[in-house]
Amino acid sequence: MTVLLELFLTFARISLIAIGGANAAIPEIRHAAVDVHQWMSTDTFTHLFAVAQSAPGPNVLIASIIGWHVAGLAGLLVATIAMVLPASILAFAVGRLISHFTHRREYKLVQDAVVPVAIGLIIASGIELSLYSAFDVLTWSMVIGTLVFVYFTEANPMWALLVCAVGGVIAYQTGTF
Amino acid sequence: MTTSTPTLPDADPPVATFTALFRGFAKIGLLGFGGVGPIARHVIVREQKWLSEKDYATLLGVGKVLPGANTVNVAVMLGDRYHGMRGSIVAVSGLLVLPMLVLIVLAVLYQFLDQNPYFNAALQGSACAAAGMVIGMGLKMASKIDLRAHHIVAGLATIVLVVWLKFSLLQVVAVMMPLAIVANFMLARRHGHTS
Repeated sequence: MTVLLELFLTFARISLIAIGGANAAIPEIRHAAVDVHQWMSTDTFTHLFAVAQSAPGPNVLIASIIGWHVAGLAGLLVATIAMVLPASILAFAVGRLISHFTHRREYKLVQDAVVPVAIGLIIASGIELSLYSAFDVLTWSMVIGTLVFVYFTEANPMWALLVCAVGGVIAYQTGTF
Repeated sequence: MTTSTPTLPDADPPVATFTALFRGFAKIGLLGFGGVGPIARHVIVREQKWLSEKDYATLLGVGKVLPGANTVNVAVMLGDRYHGMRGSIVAVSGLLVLPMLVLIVLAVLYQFLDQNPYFNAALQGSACAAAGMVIGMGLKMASKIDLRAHHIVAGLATIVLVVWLKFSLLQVVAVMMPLAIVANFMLARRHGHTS
């Protein structure tokens, strides 16, 4: 029960400050899961993130899989609801109010200011994730290679995930890892 | 120039039944890998014709400013336009249910294979790819907006605060959002030409 409450409070709090979505909040989620609550190691965290990215759907799934890891199906449901509900209630309220303002110049200025910060948060999350995951020439080339693939092509990013997974297995087999 | 952006036509929106809402967002959830943005636009604007390109951009813009996943926010607001709160719940459920089932399968697989060194090596590789994917997606988002010099400064300052200075998310949001908004208003006033 305590764990479920901790999961709920952790993700509900992050839900309300995660401008840019869950992928903008990765360092915060890792800090909560690894340092504060000690639910897992940083390695496990990056592995779970990789599993969550392998599933389709919105990025909130990182909360779901952490919930699963900590407390099974109940944990998955609680963490997902906590990650989605508070932000959704806010979006519901704001959505009803804001349609009268979206054409105004002031609104446009706020949006233009907020979006670059949100993108900065997402890129910072990606940099943090690479720092947790990559440790040698091979792993850094996997990071950079995927980055380039995603940036320059419209192809399904799952291909990069798959190629790097196979690369990892080969590296292990040949004793590089 | 952009002041004429119309809000959603309140009268006579195209009909979206609960089933259509659920199916549309289920498709978005199931086909969106590494972020559901591109497929969401395709389904909402092209396939279902729920919104025009311009109205979708406006709604997505609101979704981006608010905390939480952009597409979840869009699902909430779009569902509400058709069927109130129940519409929001149906749209968000559509978006989440199928990916959750896939995730549970993967999570069970993870539990069984956790101790397998080959599986761990594969995950190590995927984790690196996932990290590169997040950076690549972020850069791609940046390439698609109208970036001014001070926007780039705001983005870089955010990265420095998070990665080097280890600010918490709340601290970064509390510092950067007001600064970026004030800077944007001041620069717009000085140039005085945007409208």
